[in-house]
Amino acid sequence: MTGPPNAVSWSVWAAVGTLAVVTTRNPLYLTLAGAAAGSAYLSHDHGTAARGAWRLILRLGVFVAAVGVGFNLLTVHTGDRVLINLPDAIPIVGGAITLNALVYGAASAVALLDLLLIAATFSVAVDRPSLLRLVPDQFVAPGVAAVVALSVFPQTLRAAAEVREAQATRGFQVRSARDLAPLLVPTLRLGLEHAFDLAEAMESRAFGSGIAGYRADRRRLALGLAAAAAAVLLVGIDRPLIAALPAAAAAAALLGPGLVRHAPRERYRQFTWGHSDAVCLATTLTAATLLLVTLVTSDVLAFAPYPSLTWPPFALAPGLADLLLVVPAVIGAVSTR
Amino acid sequence: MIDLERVTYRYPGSRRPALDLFDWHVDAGEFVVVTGPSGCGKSTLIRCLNGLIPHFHGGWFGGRVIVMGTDTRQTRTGELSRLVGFVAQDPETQTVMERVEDEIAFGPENHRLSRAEMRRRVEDALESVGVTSLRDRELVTLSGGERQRVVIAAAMAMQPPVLVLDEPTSQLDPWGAEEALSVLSRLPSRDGTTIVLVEHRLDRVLDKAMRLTVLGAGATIVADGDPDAASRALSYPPPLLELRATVRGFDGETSGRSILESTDHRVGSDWSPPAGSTPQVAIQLEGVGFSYRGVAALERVDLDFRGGHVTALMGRNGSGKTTLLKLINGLLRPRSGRVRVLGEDVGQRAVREMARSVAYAPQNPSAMLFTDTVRDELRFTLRSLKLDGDLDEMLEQFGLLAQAAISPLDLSTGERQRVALAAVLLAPRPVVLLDEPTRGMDEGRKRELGVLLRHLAAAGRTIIVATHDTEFVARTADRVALLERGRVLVEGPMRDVLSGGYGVTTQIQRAFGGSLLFPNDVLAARAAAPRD
Repeated sequence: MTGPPNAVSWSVWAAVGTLAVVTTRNPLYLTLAGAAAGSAYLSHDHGTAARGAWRLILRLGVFVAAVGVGFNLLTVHTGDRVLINLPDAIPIVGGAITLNALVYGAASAVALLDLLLIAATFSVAVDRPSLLRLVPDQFVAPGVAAVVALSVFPQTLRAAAEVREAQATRGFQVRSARDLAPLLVPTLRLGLEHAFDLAEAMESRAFGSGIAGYRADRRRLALGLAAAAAAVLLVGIDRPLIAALPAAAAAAALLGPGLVRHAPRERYRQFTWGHSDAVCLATTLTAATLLLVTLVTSDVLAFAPYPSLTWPPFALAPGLADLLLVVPAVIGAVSTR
Repeated sequence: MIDLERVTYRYPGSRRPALDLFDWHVDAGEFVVVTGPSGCGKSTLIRCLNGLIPHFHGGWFGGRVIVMGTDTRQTRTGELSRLVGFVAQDPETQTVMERVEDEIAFGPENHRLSRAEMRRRVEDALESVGVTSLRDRELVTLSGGERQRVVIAAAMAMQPPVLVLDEPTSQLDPWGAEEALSVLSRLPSRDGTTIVLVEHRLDRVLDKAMRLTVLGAGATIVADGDPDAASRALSYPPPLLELRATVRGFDGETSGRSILESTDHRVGSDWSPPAGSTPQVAIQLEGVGFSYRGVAALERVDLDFRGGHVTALMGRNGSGKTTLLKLINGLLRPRSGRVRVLGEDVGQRAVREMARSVAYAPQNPSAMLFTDTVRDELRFTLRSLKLDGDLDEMLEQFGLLAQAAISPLDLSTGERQRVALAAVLLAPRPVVLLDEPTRGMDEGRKRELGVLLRHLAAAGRTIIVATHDTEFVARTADRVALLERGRVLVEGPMRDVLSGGYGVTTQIQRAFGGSLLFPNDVLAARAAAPRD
């Protein structure tokens, strides 16, 4: 192993991890995916600046998930496993309280925590510069802006702690929602001031000046747009689809590669590719393949506890796919050692 | 090099111009220091030089700013960055990347330079500010001084012929500030770089500057030229310049003895030793330790703070000053040892309860300001603590009567600091803790604050001030506790600590040595010295 995986490997891992979570409500697979993401998070949580913020977000996630479970349990009165019956006279929560609703709520809660763990792992494991350097030239501006916007969140959390302390030492205490202004106003302002200062610093250091290196061929752009409009028009006036094809092909050719000319842009750091990246990428792509094959060939990922609750199905392929997501955790542990 | 012609600027939504028909000129290779009272337009002026005004800030802009023949109205800030490097006040909020080397390469990468050229520039910048050893470090692990040097290196890597800096040392300890300033002072002679530096604390920069521009209220130029001559327009010139202006033959290098011999008239100082103190211990720290996630911030700290005294907490960035203040007001609980305030164990009391006896002004005033007007901000403290206080008296004491109906958010950094201090000091409480209270404040306001703190101490209050401002400490404090990596290096009478060779001292002491801290000390020593 040559060290922790690079930003490309992590990006693919995060994408496949997300796919593994969003394609199922089967609690067995969700638990496996969560275990893999959790171990990856723990093995890469080495005191980065993002760590504190993500710990808070994960704690908030646990709270929201717990509330979600309770909400589902009390408001969904469907299912064959009735735990108790609340009087119908009680609005919203009155009716049967079922084990089915509890299981579905719990599965959704685990899915939410899985996604948060994947995002947290990605955030603490990948450093901002390498992520910035992955952004294609044409998207540098929005890419940098997005990354900077993300950095404002941890700063706002720090500001919240600072404000809470400052107001507490003035004897302030929150008694109702109306009392939140002394906390919220300075917190939001400090977060915005930080964003403003950062934007000022970036502007002063030529952020966005590279945009001058991009020039669209205006004549080609105009012709391309005209061809695209003609294609849309032909489809719109009920001509056979084939009639619009030449115009669509011309539009594609005119608006495609070569429309924007730009000066070559070199990155300060060259992209590196090591053994750990190869291992991580290979296992993650294997996991993705297993998941996609399972999705196409069987319905084992599907699970619904309504109307009757059954034990969730389990097959080896998607289970193995979830387990393969643990590989970055192993790499992280080895490289740390 | 730089020409401002009848520049007028109003911030968006403001009717009052921050600059009004302003004319100014800077020659190539000059090191110009710009100073003036808080809110007079210094920061606005230097943001005009790199086009942040008007391109980034918007507002109404008239007149012309020409930098090396380029009109800043016609050229975006990104393009102007090839001509003008910019360093702001807070090193925490102006770094983009995570590691030192990437941070320095950020600008050259945006300039679309070749990788070889970027590497050359990064190496040059690392070398010239002396941070080569930090190249692989994460920025969050750096001290304030190191971080500010990295920010300067990042600006220099773009190789601008002009570097403008907005109070770059205001958040640094004396060592970090000296490091950053010595780097800057070498640039004009080494690279021919033109430097425009906004600064309140002139004592440490004027000996490096070639020119001083003094701004008055409304950004009018009060004096402009040779630092010695222009400093005469200052209400409170730095102590050495005060001597230079009044003592024949003083060149800053002369020995204390010869200065004493050549002194021919008195130089004023408003400092006088504190009157008899009340030796009653108000705050006791016994073997106090504290750590942040396993990293020790304070270790085995034993300190007593007495009523009627102003004690200054000094030390490098990260030495534990703020942590110590937060342990006293209960915001933090000690991991070991005990903190007693007015005889009670802080560990047993809630922060809200502590707030009735301990006033605390945090380092960042923006953390507490939220109301629509300055007056409401002061009223909020009284309401929260269910106490009475004289709003108008406090507003007047802090020079805020004219701004009483203005939103604190529309004020400058120094003015916000004053609002925060007024809001904290308004409610009478026996213990007062101030964290970097002079940040962004002009010399006049600092002196007023010093006098106010001495009044409060004379009334029996226990005042503790965490600060890097040595001249303020010398004028205001009775005692100094110097922290070093979470431990008390020395604690004692102010004069003993500042003249004890610990690296924190006044400009006069640095020049003359011994226990001479103030111009008056020099005169007293002269009076006592035998004449040949």
